[in-house]
Order: sequence, then structure tokens, then C-alpha cells
Amino acid sequence: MIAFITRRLLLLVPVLLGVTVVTFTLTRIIPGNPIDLMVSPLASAETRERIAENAGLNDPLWVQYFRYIGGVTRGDFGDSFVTDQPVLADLTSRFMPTFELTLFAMLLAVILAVPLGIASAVWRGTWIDHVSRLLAVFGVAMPVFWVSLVAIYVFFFLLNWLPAPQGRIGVIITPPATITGLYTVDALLTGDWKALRSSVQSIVLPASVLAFAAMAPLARMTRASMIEALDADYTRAARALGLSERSVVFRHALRNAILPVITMIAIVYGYLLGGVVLVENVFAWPGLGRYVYNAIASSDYPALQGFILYSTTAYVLLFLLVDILYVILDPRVRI
Amino acid sequence: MRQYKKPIRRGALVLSAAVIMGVTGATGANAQSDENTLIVAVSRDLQNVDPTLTSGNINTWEFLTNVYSWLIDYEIVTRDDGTRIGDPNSFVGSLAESFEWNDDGTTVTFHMRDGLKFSNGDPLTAESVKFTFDRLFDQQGVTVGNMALAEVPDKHHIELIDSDTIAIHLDRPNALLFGNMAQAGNSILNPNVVGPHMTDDDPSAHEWLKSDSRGTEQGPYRLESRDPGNQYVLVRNDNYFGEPAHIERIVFQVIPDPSSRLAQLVSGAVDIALELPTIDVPALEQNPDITVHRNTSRSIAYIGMNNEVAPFDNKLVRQAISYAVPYDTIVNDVMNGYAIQLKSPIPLGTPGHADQFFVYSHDLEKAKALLAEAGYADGFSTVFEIPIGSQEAKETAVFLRQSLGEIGIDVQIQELPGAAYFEKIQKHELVFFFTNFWISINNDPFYHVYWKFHHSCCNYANYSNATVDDLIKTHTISTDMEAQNAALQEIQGIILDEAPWVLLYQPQHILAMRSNIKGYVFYSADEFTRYQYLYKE
Repeated sequence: MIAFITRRLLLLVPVLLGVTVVTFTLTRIIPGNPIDLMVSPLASAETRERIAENAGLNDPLWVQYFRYIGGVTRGDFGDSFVTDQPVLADLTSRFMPTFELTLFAMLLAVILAVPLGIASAVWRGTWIDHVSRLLAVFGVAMPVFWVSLVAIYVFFFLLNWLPAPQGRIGVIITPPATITGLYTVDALLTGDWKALRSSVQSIVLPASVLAFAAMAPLARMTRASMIEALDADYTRAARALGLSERSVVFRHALRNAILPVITMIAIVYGYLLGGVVLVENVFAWPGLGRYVYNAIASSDYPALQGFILYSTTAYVLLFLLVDILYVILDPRVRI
Repeated sequence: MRQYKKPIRRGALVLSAAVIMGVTGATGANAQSDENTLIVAVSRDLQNVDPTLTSGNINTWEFLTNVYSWLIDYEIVTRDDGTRIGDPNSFVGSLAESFEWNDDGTTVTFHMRDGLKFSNGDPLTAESVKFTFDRLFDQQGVTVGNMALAEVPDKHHIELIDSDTIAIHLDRPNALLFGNMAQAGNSILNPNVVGPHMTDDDPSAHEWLKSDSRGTEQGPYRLESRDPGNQYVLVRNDNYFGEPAHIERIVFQVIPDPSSRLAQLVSGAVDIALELPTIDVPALEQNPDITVHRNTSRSIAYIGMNNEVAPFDNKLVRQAISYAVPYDTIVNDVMNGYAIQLKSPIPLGTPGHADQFFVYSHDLEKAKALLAEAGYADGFSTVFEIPIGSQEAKETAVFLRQSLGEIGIDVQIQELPGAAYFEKIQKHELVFFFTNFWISINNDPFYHVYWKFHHSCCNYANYSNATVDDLIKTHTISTDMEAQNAALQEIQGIILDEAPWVLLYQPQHILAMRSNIKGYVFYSADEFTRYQYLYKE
């Protein structure tokens, strides 16, 4: 097991090197010179030149690349052209908001989608199945930013049940003392009820919107693999032995059907990181999605490269986790 | 272990649902701010806050304007309707209590106020001013270009006389200096705070100043806290020399989505929302809970035509296009009436503006005739380039395409991403394009024509005319108002005849706030809100 994990982690190195080459080249090919966003148009040619020189924008590409790689190995991802702060610090400060949002969204999606998938497999062709399919179609078909806007309009503007989309916590409420970096959890741990209330109110809507989009593939995957498991010989054998239907469904079929669902959860989580860009923008959520959105809009090379490197690492680690879960859950997989 | 666990799980679910309902179900989800706090919805976070080397993002400039002061400032005058504005052409002492010019206009001497302090309590003296300008020239930042334009080329032209007095020497007398000085680029810095951050690698302490201002502010507010990407908070500076700000704390909350900023303003979740789409303004004006402040801006929207690239190098083609544009439609339908037609490259509100040279109207017959005379009776095809994401630009482009289609010019609309658009416009690589971001912070007509038609930086249309160049060269550095005025008339006459741009409109600057907020003062020079004057009723 240890050897397996070590091998996988070592494999991360060439993957990340490849990613840096690609992103470095791509960010330089797309049109747009960051220098025009860094200095006022009134700046003299000399000032522009000096700033470009300081930012290393005048060196040959390969020199810039090796300087970048050298920095990355020391934990220096360069400074963002827009925020003028070290990219690593920017990413770190924006990681937790995104993690909190996607975590809640994922939990919500799994809690709703898996039972829905099971139910529509067990009661195939009934109204439950149809409703589940309809929800899945809507979840996939409706753009997440549009759902966000409608949700804000209904729950904040019309009904006033939930607070204005102003980020993770009410504007004039002091965030809880940092323990984990997740506002809801920290507020609970420190017993800061005002912060807890505000942070939970703030996360409900964006997390639900994301969960709605993520539910669809999860529910469909659960249904498909449950159907396969329910039709399998071992399920027939279990039924023939006279086990209760509950036991057949949950102890026999589900345990076999859950593996592809776990893979799907990992894939959907990756997809959520994409959807979060739009949701964070609409809900003013100060996370990675909005950071990368701004970075793209302003040709902020260091920030973009840093983000891609970071998300690749996160993705690879996520799938490593899935593989480890497989080993634990499925005795047939041995390493 | 055969026991089925579902009841427990169901219990947990019900419990957690109850927690969520209990926490969120309570009423009053929209807590409003109290009278000592103002919540402002802004579209983006602060960027680099070094006052002498910032990037020009408007939130950052507005922040700098509220935490710093400079030697002189715009005078506040009361208009006929009782509203107060900052007059962009009239200057009064700020950190300097008074100033006087010598007889030949080459030296201006500033007398500092007594007992000035920085936000951390350190004294602010003429030595601080000298320190600031030395740093400014050593750094060669953006402000230096403007100082040099006013004939103050280096730090040796700033003379420390004693700790209450400082003088600025000009190589040649001119009227540009003050207009260039009343802005954040000339913020006076605290040597005790900034000095220790100056190192051999970073002699101007840019690394510190780009992300902090604490202790070196002397304006009505000071920076209290920053949560990157989310909010920044200003708090009243008790060491400010002037009348203390009414509202104690201002929270700037980053809300990137414009419809969300609008909804939050209407619901009262925020007190002020910046950068709202003009299409939503009529509804806001009908809303009794909202006050909309509208003031004609001096920023100019125009269609640039690269005067060196065929067929736009032909004056007749440029005139033909100027006759084909539906000016009224653009003002009324694109800008929803929140603009006035621009009739001179020097906008209304800038001294010397004259609109009698504007002969163009929406006259397709005349446009066709001019096009035929230019040798393009069958028209031609071209690409119109606009920045992506700008509704104004997009709608203008659509109307332009339709009108030019009627005189035989086939227009393709090309949207460029922000960075690419700015790169191309600053390299003068755009041939036929929309632009609306320019406002001359110094409300001097020669400052304006110098940058827009003379200096290589911002003459995006590559316009060149020997007479205009001579007039700008001769009269920019001058104090002879009469000769300057005559020259301006001549310049506007020539430029309107040669039509290097299609003049479109001057938008209205729109600021919407909850109607219990009073005291707004519009500064047309830069359009930044001075929050110190606002109060809640």
C-alpha cells in the first residue's frame, strides 16, 4: 500500500512538469500583453520598459520558463500581475472558501442523489423513476449561473428567506476565529452562534445550486449500476435464499453498485470545480473560481499557471484517494 | 451486526435538517447597516495601492482618493440647483494652507498647515512633502510624466525651504501644474513608515506600498482591514486635518455580478452600488428608496479610425462614415438617454469646448455621395473591433453595422478580450474600433489634446496634421489664455473637418444610493466619490 501511494505520488512529478510546459506555452500564445494592464497608458515608454524588464517579460521564453520552474520548486509561483501578491498566498487564501462551498455541495448532492438513484432502480418505471430522470435532465440542461440568478431572485429578493449574495458571511459580521478555515465549522467549534447562523445562511443557496447540477450524473450512475447489480446472479441467489428485500438491496446489490458511484463522485467533484467559477461570481464568493476568472480576463500569467498547477495536483490526489477507497471497499482489488 | 442501521441514519438526517432550518429559518435575513456604517457594493477588489505606480483600476483610485490628501485640491462650489460639486478648474489649499505664485509664474510656494498629522500620529511637514516628491521622481512612476509635462522635470525642482514651506520651480510657466497635482498620484507619504521599507533592491518601497497604506494615510479615512478578493474596510481617520468624515466605517464588498449589485441595492442589503447597467437606471429613478445622482461625465466615447490605414487614410471616407452614424439612436437606445452627443473631441465641461464645428448628421445620401467621391461607390468591407463584455460597445456596433450597410460598407464585428483589446489599442494596431474609457483627469484642454492628438501614447487613431501639431506644441506650455483659446478653436475646426474619429457621446456618470444617504458631492475631474461628505438620515 505504501509503495503504491509512493509510486503514484512520484508519478505526479512528470505530470506536473508536463502541465507547466503546456500552460506556460498556452498563456504566452493567447493575445494580450499584461503590461498594458499593469501600468497607466500615460506612463512613459521607459517606465513601461522598466516594469516589463522587472517582471521578466522581455527575456526569451525558455529563460522565463526555467526561472518559473526554479521558483516553483522553492514554493515561489511568482507574483500575480493583478493583485500584486505572491500567487501561492493568493491561492491559499482562496482555497478554503472554495473547499467549503464544494464540500457542502458534494455532501448535499450525495445525500440526495444516491437514495434517489437507488429508489429509481428499485422502482423502475414508476413515478419515482420519472421524477428522478426529469430532475437529472434539468440539472444537466440548465446553466448553473442561470439557476443561481433565479434562486437569488426567489429566495433573497422575493421571499427574503436568505441573505443577500455577499459571500461567505454577512458583510458586517466578524468571521469566526480560524481553526479549520471553514467558517461554518469554525463557528460551530468556537460556539460563535452569530457567525454560524450567517455563514450557514450564506452557503445554503450556492451549495444547493451546485448540488443540483452535480446530482444529475450521480443519480443516473447510481441507478444504472444498481439496475445491473439487482439483475445480477448473486442478487437472484440472495433472493432465492429468502433474504428480505431490504437486505438484498442494501447489503448485496448496493455494495457492489457503489464502486462506480465513487468514481463518479470524484469526476463530478472535478466538474464542480468548473461550475464553481460561475457560482462564485454570482454569489460574490471569494474563492478560487472567481480568482481564476479574473486571472483569465486580465492575462494574469502567474496566477493562471499557479491555479492550473494547483488544480492538477488536487485532481491527481483526488483520484489517488479514489483508488485507495477502492482497495478498502472492494476485496477483489489488491495491490 | 445484523441490525439494520437505517433508523439511526434517518435520525441524523432529520437532526441536521432541523439545525439548518433552525439557523436559517429565522426572519430578518437582510440585516441593514447602522448609521455609522456604509456598505458599498463594488465590482472588484483593490489592486496595487502604491499611489505613484498604481494600475488605474477605478476602485483602487477611489480608495487612494479617500485615504490620502495632497497639497492642493479642487474647490467645492454650489451649483444653481443647490448641489455641490468639486470644480475641476479651481484649486484651493489642502495639506498646504495657502500657496502663491511668483510674478513670472515659474515658482509656486506652498505654506503647510499647522499641526498636520499622519494617521499614526506622526507629524506631517514640508520635509514629508520633499520626501514624497524625491521618491516620486526616483521611482519614475506614472505621476512623473504629468509633472514633466508641466515643466517640472526632476526632483531638484522641488525645494524645501523650511519645515513649513516648500516650493516647486517650473522651467517655463504654464497652467497645467495644479490640474496634474490634485490627485492621488501626489499623495504625501510618511517618511517614518515608508522609509524603513526602502531597500537597495526596492528603493521606492513599492513592495510595501503596493499592498498597504496603514500609518501613512492623512486623508479623511484610513485602511482598517482587507480580506483579499472579498472586502476592504475604511475607518474614519481621527488625525485628518479637515472636517471629520460623517460616517465612521465604510465596508467595500466585492460583488462581481451587476444584477446582484442592483438587487442588493434595491433590497437595502447595501447602501451604494457602483457600476450599474444604464438599462436598469430608469426603474431605480422611479424607486422612492433610491436616489440616483446623474452628472454629465467628461469621458468620451468615439469610433477611432486609423488615419494611416486604407481606406481610413482618406478624409472623404472618414467624413462619409461620420455622416452615416445614427447619433440620436446611439444616445437614446444604446445609452438609454443617459448621455449627451459628443460634438467636439474636447468634451463639454472642458474650457475651450466648441460645438459649432460639428457639421455631421445622420444623412445617408450625403454619406453615399462622399463615399463615391472617395472612389468607393461600391463600398468596401471592414472589421469593427470592440472590447468584449461591453454592452455599450456591442449595441453601438450593431447600429453602426446596419447604417454603414446602407451605404455599401460591409462591417464585421469583432469582440476582443480585455487584455488583447488594450494591447492592440496601445500599440495603435486597431484600425476601426470603439473606445469609451478616456477621461482627462486634468481639465485643461491642452492637456487633453496633447495626449489624444499629439503624444504617441494615446493618439490611438494615428491622427497627424502639421498645423494641429504646431498649435499644440506652441500653446500647451503657455499662460496666454487668449492665444490658447484662439488656438483651440482652430484645432477643433481642423479636427472636425478631417474627422479622425466619429464622435459619439459623453455618458452620464451615474451613482445610485439608498435615499437616506445625503451629502453627495460630484467631482467631475475624476468622478471618484469622496465618502467623507456622505451621511445618513
